Amino acid sequence: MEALTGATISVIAVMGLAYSFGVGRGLVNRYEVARAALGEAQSELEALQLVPRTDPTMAIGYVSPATPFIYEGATLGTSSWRVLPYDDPNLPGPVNLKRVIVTVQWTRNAQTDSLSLERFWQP
Amino acid sequence: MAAVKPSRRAEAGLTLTEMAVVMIIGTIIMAGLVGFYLSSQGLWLDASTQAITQREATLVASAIRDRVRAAHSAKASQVADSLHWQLALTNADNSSYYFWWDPSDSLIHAGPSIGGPNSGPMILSQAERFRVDCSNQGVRVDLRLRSATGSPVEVGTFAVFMN
Repeated sequence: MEALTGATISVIAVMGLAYSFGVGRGLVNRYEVARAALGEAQSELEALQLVPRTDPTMAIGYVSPATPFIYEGATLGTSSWRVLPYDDPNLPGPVNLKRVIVTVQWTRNAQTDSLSLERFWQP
Repeated sequence: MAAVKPSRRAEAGLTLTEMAVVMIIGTIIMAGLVGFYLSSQGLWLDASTQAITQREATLVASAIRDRVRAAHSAKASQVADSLHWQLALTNADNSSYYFWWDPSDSLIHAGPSIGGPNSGPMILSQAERFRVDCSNQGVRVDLRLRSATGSPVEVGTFAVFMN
């Protein structure tokens, strides 16, 4: 009886350990795409710096069409940006900054994730 | 009155058959546990090295982005083939900084001069791809590293010149 109890506890312990390793591996895979998505969002924000401030795509309220987010040759999701008004209380005027938000959404292994990066622009 | 004798069964302990059954079951369980442990250890090692490589890829992308922002212009040239490039950045004060793939160790190196005293590998993961595309406005980098256990890690970045 004692031997059976000990064996059962050991099996449960090892199964739990193995499960935790599997979960850890899954998280590494999940954040692998998240890091690539972060690079995509940073690149997009950087590229938007080259757009003239007077361009219609930089007007407040603009929402860009979604572009594919590709990782390792596969399209995992979309990337887009939008421009929102921002009122900095320390600056004069009601809308004194543009808030540019880049959002990357993706789905992998039936799990949907997203991240957003934002930067303030002078109008 | 005769004394009551304990049965032979009670005195015998475990029979050879019982011992054999217990040992076989124990061996099977132990083999399963060891197999599970080794499999889990391999999984952990693979995940750990891949996480390290992911961090290294992010580090390289971040370092290149920072240097490009501080630079004035850039020039890209192939090192060995179309997958492996060298990036030469020129700052406003005419000083230079380089990122390049070294064919001797397949690592990405960085420094103020190629092969100079303050130059060396940035990371420990080998680069399968280090492609650089320069324009007069910025630099785009496409990077693919390989972890110690063989898992690929890709990252891309784009940075514009600020000076």
